[in-house]
Amino acid sequence: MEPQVTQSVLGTLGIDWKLFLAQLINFGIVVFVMWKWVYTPLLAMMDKRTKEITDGLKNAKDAKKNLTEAEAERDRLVQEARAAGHALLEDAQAKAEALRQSKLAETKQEIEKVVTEAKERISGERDAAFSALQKDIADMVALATEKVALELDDKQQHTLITKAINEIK
Amino acid sequence: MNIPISAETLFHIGNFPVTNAYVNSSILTLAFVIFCLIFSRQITKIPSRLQTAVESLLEFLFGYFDQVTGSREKSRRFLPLAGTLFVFILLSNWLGLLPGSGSIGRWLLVDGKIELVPVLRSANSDLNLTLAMALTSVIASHVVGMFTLGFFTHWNKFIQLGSLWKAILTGNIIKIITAIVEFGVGLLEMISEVAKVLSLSLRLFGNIFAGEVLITVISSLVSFFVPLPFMALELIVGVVQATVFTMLALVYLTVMSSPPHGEGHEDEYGAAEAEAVAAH
Repeated sequence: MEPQVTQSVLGTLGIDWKLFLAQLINFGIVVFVMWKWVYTPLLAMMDKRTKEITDGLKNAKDAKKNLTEAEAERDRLVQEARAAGHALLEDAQAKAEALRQSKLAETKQEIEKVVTEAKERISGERDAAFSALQKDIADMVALATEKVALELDDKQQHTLITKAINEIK
Repeated sequence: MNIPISAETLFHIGNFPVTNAYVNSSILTLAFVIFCLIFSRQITKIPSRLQTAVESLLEFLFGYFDQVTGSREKSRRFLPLAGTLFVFILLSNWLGLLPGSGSIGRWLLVDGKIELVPVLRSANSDLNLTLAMALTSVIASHVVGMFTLGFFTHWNKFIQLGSLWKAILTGNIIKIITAIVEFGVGLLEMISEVAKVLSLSLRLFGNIFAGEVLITVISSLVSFFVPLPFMALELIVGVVQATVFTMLALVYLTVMSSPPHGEGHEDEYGAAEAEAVAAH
């Protein structure tokens, strides 16, 4: 009796196993197509997009960081180069100064040497000239004296000679 | 003016009675197949307007699903069933409100009288469909439970022979008595599983069927303007019922995929059930 009642209740509510199955299949088809053609590919695409955007943002951040680093590096290098150039310049200046000083000293020395040599040579030449002159003068004097002496007597000669010798001394 | 509680048969294909509610659900199914087929072809990385709309619907659903399941991972796992339930129920509810359903029909001999049998009838005002969906949801929750927790852990929630045996092994009288009581509770849980199916299917069916009757009655009293507020009300009922059905199905799925009582997850359990009660 009990199953009879249940059956009639289900029947009143319109339950029919054929229709039930048909509706189940309809719903199943909808679930299947939504699953297969919408949810799975769409979620995969959304995940992919999210990943790409995340990666892109991260890359941009990295690139910015790299750029900042590169700029700092460049500044540092320029600074270093400038400092090195400066040092080099100062060094060169110092070296040039030293070189100039040493050259100057050398030149001075050389000049002094040349001057000394010239002086020596001049004095030598002068001495030579002087002695030559002395000799010439002596010759001339002797000649002159000879000529004068020929006209003088012995006594006069003697006096004159003595006087001359004294004067020369 | 006569709306029978069961969907009316329009004609037979062989042995199979084609009812007006079945016509509606088939039209909707066909529309879904066509839409999904076209949509799947044009999923691109840079979304079209249509794709953006579908994506925002998904995100919107996920927002609600996450509140029930507690994790996006679970929401994604349950989306194929829960998401389809929502969209399918919502659209079939709204489809039943379009002009023509309930008014265009064939004159057929019903119970010895000639009556106008509508060609279209809201798909969810047929208990067959709502029962099919409710059964699918509850069975799916058990399948999910078996796969997530393991076959024996899952069924031990209902037939607690395992817990009983463990209690007997301890030899502690109080534990054994508790286990016997728990065993009885497990049997009650089984009845509640049947109740889940009934409540899910009858709630949706009852609401939509009542809406149909209401609109028919009001329209037959005053044909113009007066039914409009009721139509608006039915639009809202369509959304609310789709939401309730989906959320409850989701709660069942979540509860069945959570570890059983007594393993430190009672709070979560309680929260899910409280939400279920609130959804009612």
